[in-house]
Order: sequence, then C-alpha cells, then structure tokens
Amino acid sequence: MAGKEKAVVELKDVYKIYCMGTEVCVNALSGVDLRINNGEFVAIMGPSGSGKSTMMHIVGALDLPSKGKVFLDGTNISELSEDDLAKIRGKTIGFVFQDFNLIPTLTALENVMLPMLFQDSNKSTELQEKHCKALLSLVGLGERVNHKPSELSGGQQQRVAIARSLVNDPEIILADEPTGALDSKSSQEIMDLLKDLNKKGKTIILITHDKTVANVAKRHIALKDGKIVEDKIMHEKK
Amino acid sequence: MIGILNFVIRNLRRRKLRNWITIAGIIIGVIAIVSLISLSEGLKSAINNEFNNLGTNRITVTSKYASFGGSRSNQGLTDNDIKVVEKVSDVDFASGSLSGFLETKYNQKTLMTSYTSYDPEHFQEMLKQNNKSLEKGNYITDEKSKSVIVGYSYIDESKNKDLFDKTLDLGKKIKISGTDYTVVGVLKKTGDVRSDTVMYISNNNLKEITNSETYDKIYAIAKEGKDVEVVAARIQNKLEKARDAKDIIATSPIQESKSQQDTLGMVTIVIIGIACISLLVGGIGILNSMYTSVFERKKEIGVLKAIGAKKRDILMIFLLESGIIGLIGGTIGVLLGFGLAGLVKLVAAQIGITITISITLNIILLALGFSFLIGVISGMIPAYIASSQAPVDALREE
Repeated sequence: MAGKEKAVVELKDVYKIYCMGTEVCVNALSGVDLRINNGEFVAIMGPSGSGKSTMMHIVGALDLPSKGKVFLDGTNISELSEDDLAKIRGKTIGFVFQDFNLIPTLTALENVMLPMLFQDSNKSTELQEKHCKALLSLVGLGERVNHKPSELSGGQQQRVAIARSLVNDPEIILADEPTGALDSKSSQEIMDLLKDLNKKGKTIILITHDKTVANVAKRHIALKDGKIVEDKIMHEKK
Repeated sequence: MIGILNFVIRNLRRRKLRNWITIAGIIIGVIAIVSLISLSEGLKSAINNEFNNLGTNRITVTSKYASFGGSRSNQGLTDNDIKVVEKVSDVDFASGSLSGFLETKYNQKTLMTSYTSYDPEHFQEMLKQNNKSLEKGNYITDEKSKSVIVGYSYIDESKNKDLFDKTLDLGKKIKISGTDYTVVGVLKKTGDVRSDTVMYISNNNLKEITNSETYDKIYAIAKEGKDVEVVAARIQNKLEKARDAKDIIATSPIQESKSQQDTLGMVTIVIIGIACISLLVGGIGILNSMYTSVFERKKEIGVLKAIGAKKRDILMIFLLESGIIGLIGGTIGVLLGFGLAGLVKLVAAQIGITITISITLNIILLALGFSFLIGVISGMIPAYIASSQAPVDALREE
C-alpha cells in the first residue's frame, strides 16, 4: 500500500437505513467496515442499488449514518453539526461529480476559487487567484481561465471541476462517476489526471460501475446490497 | 464577502428577464412613495414658510359654513360681526377680507388671477400682517375707486411669459371681470411665486364683482403683548353669542399652522400607506421569484454545500440576492419618483400652480434602505428553505 499508514477514512459498522412510511425500510448500507489509508487509490464499485451512492455520501460527509461511526482524517463526524460537517467537507474532501456541477455564470477561474469563499481564509484575493491559476495550469487549462463552462468541452469542464476539488488542498478526492458523461478519449485523460494526483500523494476514492475505469485504481471494493462483498489490492500494471 | 457579492451579482444576471419583472414591482412601489413624500414634504415646508411670514398677533375668524368660490351662504361674516369683534377686549382693530379667482385681462391676454380684498381703512396694516409692503405707489384708501395693487411678479420681466407677456406698472389699466381698474401700487418681492402674483382690491369692489354681502374672513389684530390664543378664544365666545350659533372659528396663526400641518400629516400618512401596499406587492413578487429560484437551483445549492458552504453562507447568498433586487428597484424607483414629482411640478406650473418639491438625502436613504429591507425580508423564507436543504437531497436533484 502506498503512502504512510494513516487512515484518512474509517467506517465502523456503518448502517444507513431509509424508511418509506413506517413499515418498509431499506438498508442502503448494512454493517460496513472500511479503512482507507492516506495515499490510496480506491475504486468503490457495484451495480445501481448496491449502496455505492450512499457510501459516497457518507464518506463525503454529505450524510450521516443511521448507526455506526465514521472517521474522517481522525475526526468522528457522526455527531457533528451541519456547519461543522460543511467545514470538514470544504477542508478535507474535494468532490468531482459525474456532471461536473460547475456554476454556469462563473468563469473557470472563479469556479475554482469558489470553495475558498466558504473557508475562513485570510489569503489576499491576488494570492488566491495565483493559487487557482496554478491549479488550472496543473490540469492543463492554464490558457482557459476566463472561459465560462459553456465555452468548454465536457473533458475540460471536468478538469475545471478537478482543479476546484484541489483548491483547499484536501486529503481526499472523492470522484463520483467522473467519466460518466465523457467520451472515451476525455475519460482516459481524466483518469490519467487522477492517477497523477494520486502519485503526488492525494488519496483518491472513485465511485463507479465501469470496470475499465476502476482498473486505474489500486484497490477495488465491490458493494452489493449495502455490504462489501470484495476488497482486493490490484497489481500495478505497466 | 466581496466574493459572495460577486457571485450573487453573476447569479442575478442569469435570470435577467424574470429579475427585471420582479424589480419592476419594487420600482412602482418606490416611485409612488418617493414622489408622494417629495410632494408632501414640499407642501409642508411651503406652508411652514407661509406661516413664518405671517404676523403672530393676527387672529383669523372664519365661518364653518363658508363655501368656496363665488356663492356665499347667509351664514357668512357680516359688517356687524366685525363690530362685535372690535369690541372684544385686547383687540386692536378688525377688518373683513374676501378672496377668489377673477378673470383679468391685459395686453389682449386673459388670465385667472388670485385676488384678495381688504377694507381700505386697514389696507396697509393688513398687508403688513402678510409681511408685504409697497415697492412703489400708494395703498388703496377709497373703497369706491377702481384701484388695484399688484404683486411684484407683474412688473418682473422674467415672469412675463407666465403672465401677460408685458409688464404692468403704476397707472396702467387692467380689466377685472370686465371693469377697468388702475394700478396704484406695486408690492415688494417676497420670493414666493404664488404670493407675488396676488392682486389686491377693496372689499367693496370684490363684494360687487362676486355679488356677495358677506366676508370670507375677519382678521382681528390683538394688542401688542397680549396672549393671542386667549384673545382668539374670547372672540370665538363673543361672536358665537352675538350670532347665536356655533358656526365660526377663531384661530391664532400658531393654531392655524398646527391644524394645517396635522391635516397634511394625516393625508400624507394615508397616501404613503397606500403606496406601501404597492411596495408590499412588490415584496411578494420578490418572494415568489426567490422561491422559484431556490427550487431551480436545488442542485447548485447541493454542490455549494458539498464544496464547503455552510448554512449561513447559503442564507447570505439568497438574502443578498433578494436584497439587491430590492435595492436596484429602490434606486430606479427613487430616480423615477423624483422625476415624477418634478413632472407634476412642471405640469402644475403650466396651469399656474406653484408646487415645491422636496428632494432630500433623507428621502433617498429612507427609500433605498426600505427597498433593500423589503428585498431581504421577502427573501427570508426562500433563503431559509435553501439553506436548510440537506446536501444529499439537493445533490440528488436532476
């Protein structure tokens, strides 16, 4: 396993139960134990309904478990307030979504700067801008900082989203089907980018149902009916 | 904060048409409020100035049933009433007065001109009570002679366009309701256009022209150093007894000013109340627009929360947005409101009525603050709904 042996994500006997009415309840997650260490590249796989979206919400501190404990970067988030969760999200996790979710009115640069708005940062605007421009260069969009999302291709938009996810220097990049809306060439580029980031020490958690995409990851976790049915380390290819 | 403001402004630009429609609702309300306040404040200060110019020991007696215009009721004030008032202790002297608009012709041009008449015996004293005195010529001393004293505007060349196109002067003849009158005196300039365009003739002449037996008003001048309000009460008492009817009012300038201000204040409150209703409707427009916006942007709210936006950040974004909608509406409304007040002034001037409008920083700040506040208040519920959205639910939205 790459990196230091420090757990950045730890789930202990986590349940997520959705009830419709009083009688019918569904266990989206039932008794999941999981530990992801710093610097890992993990793919969480499974068909729809397997609980992988719920998993992503819990790992991403977007939702709290019905039962069990979740540690993010050593902090037990199960009992945190909404605002504290927001703070943790902003600091520790960078989200990359399937449909990019950029703000259409903002330029690439402004989209990347957006998460900094919500952090109590005392950096000057110039400094923030410099930092964000560097990130856009890192994802290969140094020339397109002032373009609106509508003026960018899908692959380019996803790169902006990745730059945005990196802006607060989070421990974890949580990517939910990041190539789901892209053609195969763009998909390849995005996966290469994620691989690079992992090499630079970021922990990457990839949620996908696509085996070829998952193959980039070094560890595969398969979910079925809210339970982990497979957890294996993949051998480095090349 | 500046970042959030920038973000909010970008968002507003996104739904231009809808936002402008929403803003229009606020604009209409603010126009109504600003123009009405501006006009009524102007009127208030005009009344104040007028009363400040009046003699403080002059008591005005009017009949409660005095009718406007030409026809005067038989409850009007008579020569006998003047005698009664003059006998009241501490009254120096009393004099009747009439006023009205009459057709006046000079230089082939006919205007409706404001007239006031006094008793020739007290002409100078009555004008002095109005803070007026002669620029040149003489006061009217004979009640039968067809003499007129004119305000300063009639000899002021710059006012020609609004008046007879030609200046008047001593000795010139004008036709008042068909009869020739000679200008015997010109009054000093007061600076108030309305006041400077009044013409003065004798009571006898005005009674004849209007076919009236009675006076509109009796002015009683209290002796120097006496309490005017006490004398006014005494006059009221005596006159009611003499007339055997409770149909007259005797007021001191202080009371008069106060009661006019009170009436005006009440009218202002009612009018502004009505204007506020339209602003409220504008606020509901904002509420509706923001409410829709929250639902449309559910996913965006989810994304913002995912990238670290706290509840209060989302709250701030939406409140600022609705506040800015209110503020933009307020700004445009203030400009158009003053524009409308100015237009009213212009139109009124065309038909010969002078209106003062008041444009003060207070009105501007009040209107802007109020419209921003309406925006913020209208945005509260939608903003709260937006901020309480669970990030997972918001993100799930497609």
